[in-house]
Amino acid sequence: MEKDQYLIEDLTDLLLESSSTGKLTTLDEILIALENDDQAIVESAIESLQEELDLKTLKDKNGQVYYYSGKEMTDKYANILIRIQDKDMLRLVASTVREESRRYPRPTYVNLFTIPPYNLTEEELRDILLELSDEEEFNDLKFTESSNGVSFLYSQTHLSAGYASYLAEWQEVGQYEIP
Amino acid sequence: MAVSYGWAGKVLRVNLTSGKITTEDISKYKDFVGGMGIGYKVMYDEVPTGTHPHAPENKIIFGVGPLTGTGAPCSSRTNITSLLPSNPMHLVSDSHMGGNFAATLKYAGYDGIIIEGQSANPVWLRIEDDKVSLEDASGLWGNGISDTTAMVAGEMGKAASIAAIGQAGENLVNLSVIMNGYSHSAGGHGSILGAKKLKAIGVLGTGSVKIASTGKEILDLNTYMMTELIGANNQHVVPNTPQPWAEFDAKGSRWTAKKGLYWGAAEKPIETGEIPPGNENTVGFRTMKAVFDLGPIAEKYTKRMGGCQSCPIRCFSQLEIPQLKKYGVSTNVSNTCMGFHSPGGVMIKGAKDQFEEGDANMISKSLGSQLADDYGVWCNYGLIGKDFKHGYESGILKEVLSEEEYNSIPFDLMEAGDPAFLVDFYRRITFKEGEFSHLGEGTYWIANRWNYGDDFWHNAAYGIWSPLGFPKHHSSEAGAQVGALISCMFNRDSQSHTHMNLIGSGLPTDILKDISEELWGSGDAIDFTANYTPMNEYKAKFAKWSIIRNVLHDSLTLCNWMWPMTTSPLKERNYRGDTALEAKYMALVTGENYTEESLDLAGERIFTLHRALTVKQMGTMDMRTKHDGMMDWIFDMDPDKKAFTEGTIKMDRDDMQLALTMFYDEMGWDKDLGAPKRETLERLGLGYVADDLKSLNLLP
Repeated sequence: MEKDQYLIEDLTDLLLESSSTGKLTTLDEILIALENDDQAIVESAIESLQEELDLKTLKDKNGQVYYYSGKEMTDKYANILIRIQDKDMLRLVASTVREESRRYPRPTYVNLFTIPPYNLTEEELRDILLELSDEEEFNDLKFTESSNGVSFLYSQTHLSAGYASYLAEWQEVGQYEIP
Repeated sequence: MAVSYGWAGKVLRVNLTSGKITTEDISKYKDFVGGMGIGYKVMYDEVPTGTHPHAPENKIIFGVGPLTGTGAPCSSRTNITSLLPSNPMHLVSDSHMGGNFAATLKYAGYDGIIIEGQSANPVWLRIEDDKVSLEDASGLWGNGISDTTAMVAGEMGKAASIAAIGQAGENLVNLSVIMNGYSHSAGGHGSILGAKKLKAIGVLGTGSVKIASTGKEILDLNTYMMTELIGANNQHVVPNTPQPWAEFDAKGSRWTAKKGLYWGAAEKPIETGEIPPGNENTVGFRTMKAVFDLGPIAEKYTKRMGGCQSCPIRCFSQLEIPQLKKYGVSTNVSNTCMGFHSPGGVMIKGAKDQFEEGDANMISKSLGSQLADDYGVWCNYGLIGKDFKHGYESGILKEVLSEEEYNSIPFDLMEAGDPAFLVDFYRRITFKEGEFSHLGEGTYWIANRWNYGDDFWHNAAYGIWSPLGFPKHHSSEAGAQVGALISCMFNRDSQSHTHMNLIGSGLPTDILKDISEELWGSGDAIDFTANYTPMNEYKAKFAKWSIIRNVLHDSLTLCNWMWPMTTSPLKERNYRGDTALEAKYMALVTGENYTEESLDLAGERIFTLHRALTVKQMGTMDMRTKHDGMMDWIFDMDPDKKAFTEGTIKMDRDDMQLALTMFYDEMGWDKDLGAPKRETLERLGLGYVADDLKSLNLLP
């Protein structure tokens, strides 16, 4: 097998594997993983896989480029990852809640942000929720709670208080009573 | 004899009075497909109006269909049809079980078993291909389902599939089940077998189901379904946690697989991992129902997920819980869904942790499921716990039970959240011990016996749907008028999941509305959750489609907890499923030109026959007021809110009457009465039913 072919195969495996396991990949990480310091050749190999892997890129706030395969990772998930990378958790939480309130529509259970890919600690989450309550740009975001004590956030731009309260109760309690 | 593709070709008829065993050709039932269709046809043609469910004149039909045993995913369902003892008018109903009984019956060469008459002594039915006999069951009588199954297996061998009743069925408890494979239960008809003195049916089948197409064509269709269409349990098509491959997630989804979640008690713990679409060999890891039903603690007790023959979903949790030894039940647990939730509902004050932190639900639900399953007690979709709750909390129980009996019931355990209460509860029901045991008769009967009032019948907290004494089951909370209409149409709780699986798929409502527009002509068939709109013609179409697919599935037989494939987990498919998939299977299996339309017509025929039979049994055409009624809470809940406003599922009385009118019209039934018209019956090939109803003055 040609040397280039090995490179293509290794690169394919690497990008698919990282994307499917929820990881964005930088060029530096690729060079290290492939033990190949010829940046031009690797970039050319990446270029050649563009279509096959549905390769996409995102930049963080410092301009760092990240690759992911659209075959294994959605744009939505990649965007969450980049905002986590940017430590933009406050706005990530806010935009997630607003989008769920708008589209589903549903309030968002706050512990969502403690599981992957968000992975906030309880303390971090508490701080963010406090900040959301304090800052004017987030004053559309409100809290509600289901009868079993689960906290939800919603955007009052899209959901009224009464509606959000019903939906929280349905999500957390009601739907499980009719299995 | 010509080869019969799909269908085995014959139906077994067993007369328990005479001991005569015969077979008949399937051809007379083919227009009714199989399963439920055979059941309704036999009941309409052969069981006299006014028959008591426990009388010898009643019949019970075990029906399977042309897709059963073919290898089509989720196809080992047995439909059981008979008169329903818990129904106040003993109207015809059906119950269903998964497991492997259905497929084994096909392999033995039968599309159904019609059981009639009544044996003088306990017997069990032994089927080994063409060799069919009635055997003495005096040694089985009095045993639970578990021991009965083991004893019959001891006679027939491990390969036999065995359906049995427990002591509840023997003792003619209305709320009793028929069960195969120790835990796959059909609720409501156990006492029919008890009355007939038929303890069990054992089946060994060494044949196969003949398929018209090549095996490769079926395999290709399976691969298509398994890689592009199928989701998790209840056809939920998004995971319940955010995952890289998934554009959407929903916490309530039964697609529970994720990194770090294990079948923790497997010989070597097995991680479910994330199971994205595309790999047909990993679908079985998607639904980790043990933690969904019993809580996170169940993970470490889970041996594996199990399920029915030919089903990739594996929705049955199989656990080993050593702590159950304390209560004298098996520590090997296998169950799912209502099998677990119903005993939880009997613990009306909640359950408390018993052995370790967080085990309250797991211990009480698994203990209750073991007891109910072995005795063979049914729950009327959870209402038995609510019937008990009302009697206890209103003080009625204290009035209707003697002081001695009342004091003998360990209510202190129940108050303390100790699941040991369940041992006492289910024993009393099963063996008809005292006045308390009348709870086993079902909601309608107990409410009348103990004079339960409006605070019971019209109480939203209990959720009784119908004056006939059955509960809501994906009713007005599931698609507004669509779920409500579906819930009015049967003679027990509706078991239709067609509409619920779409609404509960986990996809955002805008996508569901797009799908709705493609299927029923408008996105208005689907409302936003608890933000309902008034009735419209598209909702009537959606309700009709949901029901006729439901009865079609129970006739083909396919599992309506999974089918139809209305949605897909794939973004590349724009989340569209394939509603023609049943027809594709039927065409390949039978070699006949089945289409989506022709199968839907068959479903309409089966459901209309059910309606005609209900009209005949009730002796009235006025289904609207005599059958399709709803309890007041549906319209009076949330007094500070109006129907069709955000945050309530409250319905409007006039609107629901309009909904019934539009639905009847959609079905071709009389718009005022809700009874089938001659032209509709004739269009469906049921002219003889029209003639019969006409002769009884029951044809509009």
